[in-house]
Amino acid sequence: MDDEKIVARFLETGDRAMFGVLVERYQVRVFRLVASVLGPYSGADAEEVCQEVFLRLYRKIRQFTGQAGFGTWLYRIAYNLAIDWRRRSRFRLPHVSIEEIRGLAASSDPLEDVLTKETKDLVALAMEDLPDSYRTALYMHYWLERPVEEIAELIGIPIGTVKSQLFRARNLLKGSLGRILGKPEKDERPS
Amino acid sequence: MNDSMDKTIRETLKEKPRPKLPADFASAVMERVEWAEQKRALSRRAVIVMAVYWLVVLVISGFIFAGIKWPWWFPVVFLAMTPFVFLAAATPRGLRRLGDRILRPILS
Repeated sequence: MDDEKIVARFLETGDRAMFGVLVERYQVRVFRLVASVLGPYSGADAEEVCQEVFLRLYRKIRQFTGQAGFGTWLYRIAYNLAIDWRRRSRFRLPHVSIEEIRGLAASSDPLEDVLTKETKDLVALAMEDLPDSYRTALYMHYWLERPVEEIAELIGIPIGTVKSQLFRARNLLKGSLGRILGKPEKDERPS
Repeated sequence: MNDSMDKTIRETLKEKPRPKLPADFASAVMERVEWAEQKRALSRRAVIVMAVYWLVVLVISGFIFAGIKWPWWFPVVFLAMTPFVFLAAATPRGLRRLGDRILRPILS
């Protein structure tokens, strides 16, 4: 049975088992999306936010008009809610001292070197500073190791846009790290 | 440089454990949904209880203002009880108490 029929039957009968089918069907993908928006450094708990997403879905399901696909609509709810939680939550970002940054700047090319804890902390800081959509795509790709097709579906953008967002995110990170470490920024074009 | 950035990001995130969805997630969601429904029903009931209560207060006050000699403390007691009635109606435990310990002995 497709999603729209399940929603229609749930609205018609109020049968919670129908809603349960939707939860079972979408829980993994919504969880991945929420976890990617929150990221590994956020204080918010992905499971809790994910539960809130489905509660909100339960309250708002009557507003589903069917103009967009049910999945697209649900992912939009999840994305917006996770962004709100992320902004409200306290971040557990690593602390990097000025001395550590100076020490890194003295090395020849920090990104080519063996990655030290300090470098990783700086990368983490720079990643947290990325725009929401870039950061979400980046975490989903590198942290959760999801393919670009899935990222495109969950964020609701074309595959080409995901690829260009990942490319831009990497460039922005390079720029941020270059500025922190006092290295000149080089512009790179996608090959 | 792009490859090294790629590697840097992977290395940085490698240490961070990937979140896992608990096996009982769906049942936890359904429990919360059920509780949300119960709360909605309770708050609806609380609104009805409050409406009836205020109606009684208004009727009694009306009688008093119309000159019927009821004890002066009658509406005062009703008004003073308002928050307790609301609290009792708003919580399931309070509702049970209100029903079992107060109303039932009076009505029986």
